[in-house]
Amino acid sequence: MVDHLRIEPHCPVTAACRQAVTRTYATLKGSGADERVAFEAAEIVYSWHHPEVPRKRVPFVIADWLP
Amino acid sequence: MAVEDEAVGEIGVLSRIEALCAEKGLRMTEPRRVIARVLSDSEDHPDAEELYDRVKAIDSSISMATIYRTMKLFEEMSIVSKRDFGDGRARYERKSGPEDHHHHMIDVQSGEVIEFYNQELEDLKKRIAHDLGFELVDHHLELFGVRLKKKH
Repeated sequence: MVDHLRIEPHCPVTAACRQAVTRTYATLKGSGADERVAFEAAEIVYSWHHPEVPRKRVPFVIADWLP
Repeated sequence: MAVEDEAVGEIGVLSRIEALCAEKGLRMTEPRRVIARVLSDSEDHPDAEELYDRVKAIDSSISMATIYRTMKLFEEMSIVSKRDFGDGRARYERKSGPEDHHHHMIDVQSGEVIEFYNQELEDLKKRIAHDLGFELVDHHLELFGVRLKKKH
């Protein structure tokens, strides 16, 4: 498999990181923020929780959590 | 689109990537179809953000998450070749108008988003732009932080 598509970790729905990511995205979108602003904010929040995950993998991880 | 990039299917002319998807038995949702067509029509090698811009011009309901999920799927199914998404992020513009101008303070721990407006900050940004020889026309600012612990 292509290296940057290797996704880890698999955080459960109840994990703080996942809730923070989805909350950030939903709140920003709800307030009318641009899709890219909301998505990048969600990436930054995820990276804070998981600094061990290379930044280029982050969008692929959070893409499975966001609409 | 080049003739060799087209394939005639039951529903009409398919893009090269749509044809590959069909060949591999991938169910084609409307977002996937739009993304496949945009990729097929691209003469360069767009990264996910450039792809999003092009897709958005056709269907604004398609999100960044859908782009990344679809690219991951296409790559896993060898429908597209490896692309270098890189670490650098292109800048982008906010859509909100000046009437609802505000910034965001984001609690990275909880995901809480606090909107704020600060006149001193607004004045400072205008002054910086002016000093650099510009009239400020747009900007956005997201601050990320962790809550300070309360002192007892």
